[in-house]
Amino acid sequence: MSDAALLEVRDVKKYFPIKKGALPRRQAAVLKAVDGVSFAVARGETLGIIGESGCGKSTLARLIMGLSDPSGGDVIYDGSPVTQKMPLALRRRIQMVFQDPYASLDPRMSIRRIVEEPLRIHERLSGAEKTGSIVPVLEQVGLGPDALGKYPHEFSGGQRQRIGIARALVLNPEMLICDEPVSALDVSIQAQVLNLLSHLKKSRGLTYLFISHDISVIKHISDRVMVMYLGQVMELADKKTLFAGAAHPYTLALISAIPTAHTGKKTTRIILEGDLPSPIHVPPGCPFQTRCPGAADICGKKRPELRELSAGHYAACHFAKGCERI
Amino acid sequence: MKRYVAVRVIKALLTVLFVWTVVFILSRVTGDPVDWMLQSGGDMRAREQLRHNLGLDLPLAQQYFRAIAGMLTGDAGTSFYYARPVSDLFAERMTATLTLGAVVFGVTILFGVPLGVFAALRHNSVLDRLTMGFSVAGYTVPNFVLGILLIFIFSLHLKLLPSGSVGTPAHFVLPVIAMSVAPAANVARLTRSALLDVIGQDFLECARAKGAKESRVIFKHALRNALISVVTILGAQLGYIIGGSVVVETVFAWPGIGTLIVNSAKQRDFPVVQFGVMIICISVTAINLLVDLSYSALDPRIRGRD
Amino acid sequence: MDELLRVRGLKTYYYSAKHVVPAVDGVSFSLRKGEVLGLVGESGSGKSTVARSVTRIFNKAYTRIEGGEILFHGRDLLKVPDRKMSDIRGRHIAMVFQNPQTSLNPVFSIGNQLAEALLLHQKMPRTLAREKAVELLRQVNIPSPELRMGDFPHQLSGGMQQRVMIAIALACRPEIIIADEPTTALDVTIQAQILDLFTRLRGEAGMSMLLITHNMGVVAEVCDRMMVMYGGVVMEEGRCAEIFDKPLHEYTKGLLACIPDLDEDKDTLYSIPGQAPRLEAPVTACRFSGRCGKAFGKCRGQEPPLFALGGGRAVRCWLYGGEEAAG
Repeated sequence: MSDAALLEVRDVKKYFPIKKGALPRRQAAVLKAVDGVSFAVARGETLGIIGESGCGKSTLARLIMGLSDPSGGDVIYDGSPVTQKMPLALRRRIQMVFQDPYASLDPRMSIRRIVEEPLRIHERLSGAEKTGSIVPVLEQVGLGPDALGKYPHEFSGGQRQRIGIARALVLNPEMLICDEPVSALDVSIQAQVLNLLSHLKKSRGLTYLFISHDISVIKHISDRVMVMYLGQVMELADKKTLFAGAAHPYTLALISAIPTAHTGKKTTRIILEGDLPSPIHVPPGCPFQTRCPGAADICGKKRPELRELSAGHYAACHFAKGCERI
Repeated sequence: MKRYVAVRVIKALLTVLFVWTVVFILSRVTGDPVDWMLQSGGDMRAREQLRHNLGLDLPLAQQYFRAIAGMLTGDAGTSFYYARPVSDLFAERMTATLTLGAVVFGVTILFGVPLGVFAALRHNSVLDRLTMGFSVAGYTVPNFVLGILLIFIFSLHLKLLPSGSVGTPAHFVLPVIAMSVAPAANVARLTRSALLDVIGQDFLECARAKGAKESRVIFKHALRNALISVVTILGAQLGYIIGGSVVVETVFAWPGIGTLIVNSAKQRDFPVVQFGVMIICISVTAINLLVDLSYSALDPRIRGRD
Repeated sequence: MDELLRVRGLKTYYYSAKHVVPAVDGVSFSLRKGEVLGLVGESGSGKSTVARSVTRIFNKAYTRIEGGEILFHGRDLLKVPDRKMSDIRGRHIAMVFQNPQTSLNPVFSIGNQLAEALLLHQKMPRTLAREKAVELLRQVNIPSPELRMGDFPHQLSGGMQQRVMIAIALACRPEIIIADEPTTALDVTIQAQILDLFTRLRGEAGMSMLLITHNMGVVAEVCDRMMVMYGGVVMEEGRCAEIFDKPLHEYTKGLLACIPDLDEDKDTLYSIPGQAPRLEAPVTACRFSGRCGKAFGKCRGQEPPLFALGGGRAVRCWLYGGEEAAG
């Protein structure tokens, strides 16, 4: 992929062995949380990752943060490999915003301590210098200096998420991994946080990897979108292409499944049969075949490659549009 | 499941062997039975002869393997003191101990579980606080202290109940109280907290929404879920009762294996002590195994796992 | 008159050591036979408390209904003693909850829990109850229902568990189903299946439903009429088509505008400024006035009543009633 990529993920796999039995514990199965995922994120862009439970999006986030090591493949950030042992100088360039603003802030720590903690780890600064770097960040996320002495319980969910964002920004990272950052928030607050993230991206020139299960949020925030299912990439394209001409049946179903609050525009809905298979029992061949309305023999035999249909538009389907039947 | 049981049984046997070994060594380290048996001192030759007869002149390792081989072939040896087969001594006294233990365990369940349930249902009420107060008091007072206290009040002062030995149901009253207060208190406390954990759960609301009456919600839906923790604690209490019987039987001169073990320990009657400890150890590990196995009967989430 | 349920001036308060929280502060509505009424709002709006007040499923230690009437077939449910409510729950008014994972009892089989729902209200042999249970599972599209009867809740996926919950709710053919965020915990493709199931069941069984949700899309999908709640009161109500077409209350407008639209691209989303109000503070103004772009003097001095605009439409806003609206 492109040379200008800030983050490059090359055929990354993360398998978790499932052990069973008393003594000795034997490996009974493998949970393929992430199974051969490749993509690149260019500096300054927002890549949205969408998928349902078990699609591996959060495991992928952990791999990119260097919180766990892949079972195979490489995560390369600006030319250097990302691992659990990567140097602090590299680690500080990627920061994360978490889903649950109630669980991700230590209730016993003041806002000052929460936000300055990354500084304590990465920099040697005096108290005044630390305050000097925190206050502007808090202001950027819409909180005044009076917040410094307060504790998380004194803030609402939306404000807590702002604090979480400030903590991620205090080290001046280039890239933010946002793992479902607005899922726990009410819609009216969700819009505030999304706007804040868009604004910060522009003012600080950030690169985002934005993970969500909410396709309308993904569409709003992303430049390019990657659709995941059971640990594999189903489709990857820039936003306009994906929403105007999705090639993968799963993407189409996902888009059509969203109930819209606009009457009169109801389109025919594709309702997928059956349940999401467990990532322990990923069907051989195409992972989506068990629910795909257009599944054929080949789908059970051969795993479809992620192929470029048109410039920058990739899909992993034997019958994707613009793709000769095999 | 079979595999799981097999592994657990092997683990349990290893535990028994370990405990037995520790007792074997400890009892030999703490003194020589010959000193006790020939209290007048006796001459060296008599001592040596006695040692030889008892098999104590052999190297420790040899004594150890002989004892194990004996156990495996069903020969628990002969008591130094009574000069009778150890198995006979235990057989005579087993009934007394088992009867007492069964009554104590019954009383523990009969009082502990309902008290815990009512305390949980009346959470933060006077009844709840009283139960919890009783519970703390109950398990902080050691059973032998309670036993002596009970004898002092009811036998010596009020002269209402016999202070020891067996015979009539009245003989049961004091030892049963002394032994069951602490386990009943524990069971009440843990039943309460297990039920409180369940009481806030969504599925109880769902049961109510189906139209189940409150009694059904509590006694069918909630208690059935709390039972998993209650059974665990009951198993632990049974172990406690077995261990406690050793001391309480002595206090009340109850002619069971507890008294036998305590006396034999004083007399350095190694074969009796070793066999007694092994019986206790086997019962406790067997109970733990049964408790673990009951989980899969009680909790379907555990059932399919192995 | 095909009115099944009429709620008038319902007030449900929560009591804590420090505060009295009027979670529901005077809510009125009616539910007709065969109708699906949506109750929309954000967290703290009181929508779930309304639902739980109808069947009185809440913790009595800190929740009390302080006023109002809940007329079911003309009979006030608030006058029914607690122990008699179990005859109404499940039999006449059934509920579906948000978290199917925790709403089914983990230690009983699916078949057992379904049969219980039937046997609690109807006398029948157990074998017949089982047959009926299988039929119910089939009705909610559970594949090979006979096999699923012996399964335990943890063996089913979230979507399947919610289908079982719906089957339990349907067991006694209740007149009303109250569904509290029934699809919030589910994945989107599974949510689509469940919404489809609701639409189908409603056609087949002619049941009335009170659907509580925070998701405007879900309301648009299945409801006939809707009520928008905020801070314990109804802000706007009316037919869904009308409200989505032309929302009147500033809060409703805001709620609709802040959902990112799949069909258009905007750099900045509309967002409602500020935070949800603290409920324990005494009400001396419109509850939304602190966040409303159109608030004027009167809004901050007096809470507006719910102005009826005809055709079942009503708005709690001074812009649509009182002298200002006339002038």
